[in-house]
Amino acid sequence: MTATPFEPSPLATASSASPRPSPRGTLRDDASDPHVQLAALARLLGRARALRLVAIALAWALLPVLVLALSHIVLGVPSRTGVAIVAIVTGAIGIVTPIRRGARQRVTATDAALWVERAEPRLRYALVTLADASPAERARLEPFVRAVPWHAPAATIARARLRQSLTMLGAAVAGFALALWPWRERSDAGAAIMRGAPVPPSAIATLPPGAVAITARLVPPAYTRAPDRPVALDGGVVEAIEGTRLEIEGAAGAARVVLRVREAGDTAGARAVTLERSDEAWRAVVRVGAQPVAVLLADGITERSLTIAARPDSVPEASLDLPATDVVTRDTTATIALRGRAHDDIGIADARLEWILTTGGGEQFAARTGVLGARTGALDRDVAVQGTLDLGALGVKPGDVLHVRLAARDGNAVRGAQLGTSDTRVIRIPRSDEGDSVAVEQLPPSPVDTSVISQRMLLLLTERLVARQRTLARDAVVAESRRIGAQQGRLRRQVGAVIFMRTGDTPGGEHAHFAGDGHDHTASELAQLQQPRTPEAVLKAAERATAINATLDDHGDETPVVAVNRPLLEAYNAMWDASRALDGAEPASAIAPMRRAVAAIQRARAAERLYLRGAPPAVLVDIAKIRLTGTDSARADARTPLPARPDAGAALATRLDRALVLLARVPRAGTDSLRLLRLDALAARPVLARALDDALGALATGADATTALQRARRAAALVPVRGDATPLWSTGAP
Amino acid sequence: MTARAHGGSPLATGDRFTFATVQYESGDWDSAPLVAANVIDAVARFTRIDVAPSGTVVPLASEALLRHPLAFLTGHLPVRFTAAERTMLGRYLDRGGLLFVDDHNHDVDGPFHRTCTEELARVTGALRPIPNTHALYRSFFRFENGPPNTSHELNGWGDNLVHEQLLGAERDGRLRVIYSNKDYSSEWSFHPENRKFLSVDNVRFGVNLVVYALTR
Repeated sequence: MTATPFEPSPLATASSASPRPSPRGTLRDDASDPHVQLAALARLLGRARALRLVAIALAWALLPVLVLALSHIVLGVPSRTGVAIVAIVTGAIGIVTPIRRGARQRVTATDAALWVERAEPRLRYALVTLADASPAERARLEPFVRAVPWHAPAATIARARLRQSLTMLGAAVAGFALALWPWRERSDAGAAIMRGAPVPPSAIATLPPGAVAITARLVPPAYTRAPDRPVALDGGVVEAIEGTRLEIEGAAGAARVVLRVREAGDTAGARAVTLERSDEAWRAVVRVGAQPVAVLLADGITERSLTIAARPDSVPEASLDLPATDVVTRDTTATIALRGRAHDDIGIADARLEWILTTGGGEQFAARTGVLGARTGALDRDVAVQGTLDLGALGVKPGDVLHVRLAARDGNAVRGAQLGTSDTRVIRIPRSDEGDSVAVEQLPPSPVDTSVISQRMLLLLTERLVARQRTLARDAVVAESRRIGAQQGRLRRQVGAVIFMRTGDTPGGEHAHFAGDGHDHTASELAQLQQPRTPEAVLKAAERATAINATLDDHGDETPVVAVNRPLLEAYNAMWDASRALDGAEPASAIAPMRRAVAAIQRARAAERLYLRGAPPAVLVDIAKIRLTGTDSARADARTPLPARPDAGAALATRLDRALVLLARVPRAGTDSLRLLRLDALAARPVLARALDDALGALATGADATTALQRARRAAALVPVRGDATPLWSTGAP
Repeated sequence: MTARAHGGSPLATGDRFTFATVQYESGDWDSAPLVAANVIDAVARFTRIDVAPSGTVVPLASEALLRHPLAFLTGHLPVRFTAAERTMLGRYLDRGGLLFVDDHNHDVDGPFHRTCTEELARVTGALRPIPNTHALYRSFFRFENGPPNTSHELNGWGDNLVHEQLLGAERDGRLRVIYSNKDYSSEWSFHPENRKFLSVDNVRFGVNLVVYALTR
């Protein structure tokens, strides 16, 4: 049986229980008006289409975000504002375009009818006709349309369209969320890695997708007994002792990892480090030498770096506490206590007191050596060593000389044990015929020591007298004051004698002056100096010295002799004031100069060691008489100029200029150049390295690096360059 | 070229050269007091270098050392520099000074040699033999066989060795330290007036030292 056009078919009647559009726009097969049902279907499909358009718009917006992120992470294109604006505009166009298109192509009832007609051919275009028919035609067609069960296909179409749109929307939202949610953190981490900025571990943990995860640690040399230290290849600078190993391990990505190392000053550039592979896992070891080293790790996604500043193991410091000064003794059976201390930043492996006994004279000298109180093994940072030197057991004889020092070695297994020594003490056993010279050598400590003790005693006596002054009769005060004054006068004369002897210009004196002796004095001063030195001259010198300076020990370029004599001159002058006050029975007025005298003598005792061997004979050569009297022929080679030393500063300045130009054009490359420059400057130009550190830090945070780069430029240049137009000297006058 | 001809070189101008003997805390730094006079005599006799008529003594720890392009150090006894002496010596050498050290014992197993070479090595690194073709031996007089021998070596004093080479420490092609086991301290320890009695005047090598220090 064939149904006639616009007549209800039996099949249509049979399926009359199909869904109907609801009053809110859903399909209900019990609705009486097909036109209303069709409108509801159109609205439903329109909403599905709107959802689809939103999904498409989101996909368009996602595209530039992905391009931006990939270009930033993989290619290192900086995410500057301009680029971000382009991305936003592109995304906005991508959103607006489909929405506008959707607005223009609204789903009409005819569109909905056509979709239903495609699914239900038995309608024979009656529904399409009904959609835009006049009321009269609608009344004619409605019975036919009602007879066909089109509600079920319509509902199926609506559900399918809605499901499809919702799926697209969900996918778009999910993609956008996935791209946008962790992207900011990852891109920040990636950009920071590129810039060499410190990156928190949490950011490292969220490396860009595909980046190879690594662990790195610094392993100090075994002899340091220091623990391993984990580090991040975050572009920063870490300090490590020379001989440390940087161990980098990865569980995967061995095929993509390229590890390069560059030492400071290495003109050959970075060298590749071979990875130890085990399937996908890998391991690499970089040894830190004496120079700072930069480690660069690239894995196709990121490039990470770390600069390791090598710190050398310091040489042990040693000092000898006993004997505190050189010793001169005639007792060949004496025992001399030795005591010293040593310190090392890591540990002392060997500490011992070393002695050398030299015997003989003229052209025949023999020497014996030995050690005392040796301590070996893995010792502490601070070690004390002591021993006793038994001169009798050593069999010393008059004329022998003993040199004693503390020698300490560390356990440096990288460079070999490093030696640190104390100052050497000389123990002399004078010959019997060396009376004069020995007396000179022994003389300075004794009188000064005696003087200070005596001066202290006199000071105490004076203070007691002042304290008792009110309870004593005037005559008793005068007598006691003059008695102390007399002792003060005797002590002053003793100190004067010491000064007179030590500053005399006699051949045996310590500080003789003569023409051409290298001392800084004029001819008139020389003539004055060569006048015989008298006690009156000593007093004048004392007055001059104390008049010029209240304290006289602050003369960095003085010879040791002057360093000792100046305080003694000051003491001499103070004693003079004290004597006058005491002789005048004014003990209270004497206390202040007596205290100055004690302090001055203390300074003299603490002065540098003396050279008391006397001046060598001054042999004057008569230059004018012998000038060019030699007859031998000189046949000197023509001199060839020594090659100029490379100007490291100029080279660094040139590199800095290039890096700055590069920084403006290709920031990533410029930053890399600055980082390598910092590596080379770490040891040679620490000021430059610090300025570059600041600049890199500013660049990493996006701050203004101008000031830091200007400092770097000045530090690299060092020497200002004078232009041709600049006069050498200018007073500023027109 | 004669000595007179060479003496007209630019060396004749400039500040006066003063021969400096280094005074150090340990040992007998003043064991060869006449070396200065002999070297000064030779310099005046063969060159126009403006030289001071007597030498000077400079403490090794003193800044005054920096005024002298050449410094002479000798002794028999152990050499143990103080920290200040070590530091100043490093500064002196870094600034272009030349230290000439002579072992007055001429004994490679002697206390001076062992201690002094150890001390110098701590400042300059290990000393190495100076080749006998070095410019030092051609800086004024020509010594084809390297450093001139001394009578003390030839007579078997000290370690009974004739030391073929001097030791030295170089930087950038320039000697900073010259170390001798040949005992020039004894050889040049005569009064300059007695030079006329010498059959071989090896003080001429002192001229080479001075010229090298002033021109290299």
